[in-house]
Amino acid sequence: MDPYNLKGGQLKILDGSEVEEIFQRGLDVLEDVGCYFEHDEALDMFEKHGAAVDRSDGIVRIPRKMATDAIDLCPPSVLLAARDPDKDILAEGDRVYFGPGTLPVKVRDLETGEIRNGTLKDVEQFARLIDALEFIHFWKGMLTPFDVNQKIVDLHMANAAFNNTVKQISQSPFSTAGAIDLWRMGVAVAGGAEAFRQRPMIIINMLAVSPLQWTNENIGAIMALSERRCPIIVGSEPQGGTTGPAPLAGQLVLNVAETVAGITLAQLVGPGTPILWGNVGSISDMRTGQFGSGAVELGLINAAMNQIAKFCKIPTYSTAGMSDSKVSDAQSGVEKSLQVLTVALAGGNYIHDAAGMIETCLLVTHEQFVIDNEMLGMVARVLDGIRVTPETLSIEAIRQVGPRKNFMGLRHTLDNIRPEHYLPRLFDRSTREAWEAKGAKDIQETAREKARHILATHEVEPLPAEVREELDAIIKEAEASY
Amino acid sequence: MSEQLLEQLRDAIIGLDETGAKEIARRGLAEGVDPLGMIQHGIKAAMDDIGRRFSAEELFLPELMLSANAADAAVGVIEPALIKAGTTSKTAGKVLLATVEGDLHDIGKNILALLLKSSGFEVLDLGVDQKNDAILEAAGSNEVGMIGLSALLTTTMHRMKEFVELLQERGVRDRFKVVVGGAPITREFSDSIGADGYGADAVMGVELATKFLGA
Ligand code: B12
Repeated sequence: MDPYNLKGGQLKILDGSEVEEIFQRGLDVLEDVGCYFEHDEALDMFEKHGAAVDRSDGIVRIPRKMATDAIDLCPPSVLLAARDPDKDILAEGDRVYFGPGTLPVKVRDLETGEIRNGTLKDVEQFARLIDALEFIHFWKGMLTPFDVNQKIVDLHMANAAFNNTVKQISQSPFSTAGAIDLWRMGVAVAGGAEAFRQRPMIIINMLAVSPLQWTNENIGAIMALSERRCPIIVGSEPQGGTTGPAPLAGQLVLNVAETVAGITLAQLVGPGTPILWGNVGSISDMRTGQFGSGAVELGLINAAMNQIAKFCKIPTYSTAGMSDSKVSDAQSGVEKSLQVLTVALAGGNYIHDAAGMIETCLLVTHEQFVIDNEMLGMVARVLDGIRVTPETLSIEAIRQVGPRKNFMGLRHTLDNIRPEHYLPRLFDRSTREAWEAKGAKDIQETAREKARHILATHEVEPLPAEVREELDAIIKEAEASY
Repeated sequence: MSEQLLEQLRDAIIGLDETGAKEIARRGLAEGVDPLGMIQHGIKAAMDDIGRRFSAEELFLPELMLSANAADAAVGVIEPALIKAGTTSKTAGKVLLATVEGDLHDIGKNILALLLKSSGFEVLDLGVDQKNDAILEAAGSNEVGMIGLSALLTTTMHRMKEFVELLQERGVRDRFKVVVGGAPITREFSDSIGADGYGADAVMGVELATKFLGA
């Protein structure tokens, strides 16, 4: 199985007419209700192109044609380059890639077990861990470091990432200025603005505030980035019952309206800007209002969103693999696997939040990364499916063995183990006796050992010195100016 | 006083029936039921029950909201009679809520506002992305007893520390109880900045208000 050639699309939650219905109702909302844009230049832009702009309340009503024209300008295939070209991501069709997600605030110390605030050193270590784990395809700024200037944590994280993994990078900015500096960092790694257009080294994400609101800093960032044709994630995170309608279909309608509103602005400013359509929506637990990050509905919503975005020929930024459990346990295992399997089968192109995080996006642990890597490998195996060929139908082998013998001695068996069987890297299939002899360790301990081993041995190709200096210079400049 | 009418009033509120609650309140007034009694033993009793059941996670948020609407509507009917009689339906106390500057997260704060209101507190909700100066200004001019600050970002929680410092600078630290909350906030953080209280959820927020303002 080639981890860089995974394909989903086997699962369809909606039928074709339902996809169309949700999409069209989303455009109705944009036309009738409109979307709030907290940014004068964006209002000018919309007005200039013929949208109905109400200056008194900042609401933009986007005509259907303007929205669909913008959708048609989005490239159906988005290359997200990695330092190592073998690790490039090609977000298109039903291709599936996994990565971690976003910005937990605490880490469980690998040695002491203490739950504590993150540091820059932790961030660097997680980048190296990701670099080594084969089913994690990209870095997405996880763990907020507390020991750096809080105004530019985004830049510090991206710097740690570029220096410690050759895999593809994405980062959430905390301001418009931060977004532009992240792009500059990507340009530095790519080797110039022109090289970046060919091989964009970073993707930056932007979410609307549901319902139907794009805020100032994010609009500024969308406009600045699309001017530069920098790949952008545009999406929203409605929570069914609080910031979105309770029914999942209504939530999808809202995500269509909010995302298409953002996409329209991006394409008005920079026609052809590469976009991933994002959905981070879930449900609120209506007994408390708590974000249901491990909710099974999150997987359903994201699977359906993939159908809608694919209908528009826009690659996706999907969400799956979260948990509300405080520890790596059965709850986190079930919540994460169900979400990831659902969304991967739906062909989520860039599935984030898929590794490392628990406690409703607040805690990241090394062991969870290693455990999730195993889970992702198993999901990858499901995606790989069942090949039906003369060779795999095995008629010759069955004939050869016949009744009442076995298949262990066949060359055909040997040749087909690796392509057909997923070999767990972590999960234990030994007998109780053998397991006890190895120390009767649970999965968390085994995973911690593997993480320690990776951190002690895994080396990452360093960035060229001049690129390192350029990145440092961008941070230094930001340090002085923000 | 009509026990039966009070029970109907409570049932209407718990049953989320705004029209019914108003109608029963009107009937009560017409029948000469004591207005303050209706508020205390009808409306407030119903809301206490709702609050208890919400804390026990037996109710959904819309039930909290819709019952509060029904209660408000009934109070609206009764209020003029109270004023005429020279009394008022005293609230439990005034709380200001705001999400700090640079932060747009408000779901948790909104839930806290809702639960405070349904527990009888008057709530002044300034909204999101509020500068410390503006918060203090509003707290002063509205004479609130407690200020609740919400922050969901590690990059904005320092505003809470700065707010406590601002109160000290202005010499008004003793005038307000300051409580803090939001996902990244911990009790240690709250203690370290010298806040008066920390709430991990809305129910704890109401407990703090009750403790400081004495409902
Ligand atoms: C929903 C959400 C959003 C929504 C917010 C919608 C809204 N209207 O509020 C949107 C999509 C807009 C959003 C945006 C962002 N978000 Co956000 N978001 C969340 C999420 C998933 C859930 C928050 C929530 O609503 N929880 C449900 C409510 C009920 O819980 P609560 O807020 O904690 O409130 C309860 C208690 O804390 C307490 N409480 C709260 N306030 C107070 C106050 C007082 C006085 C008291 C007593 C109690 C109290 O009572 C409440 C009710 O029980 C959290 C993850 C999390 N676990 O918190 C991330 C999270 C907070 N967001 C995060 C990030 C990074 C962002 C963005 C920067 C992402 C981006 N690049 O766009 C932006 C920042 C925007 C900004 N400037 O504020 C990070 C923060 C990381 C960090 N380093 O701090 C988190 C932790 C997620 C993550 N790991 O990535 N986000």
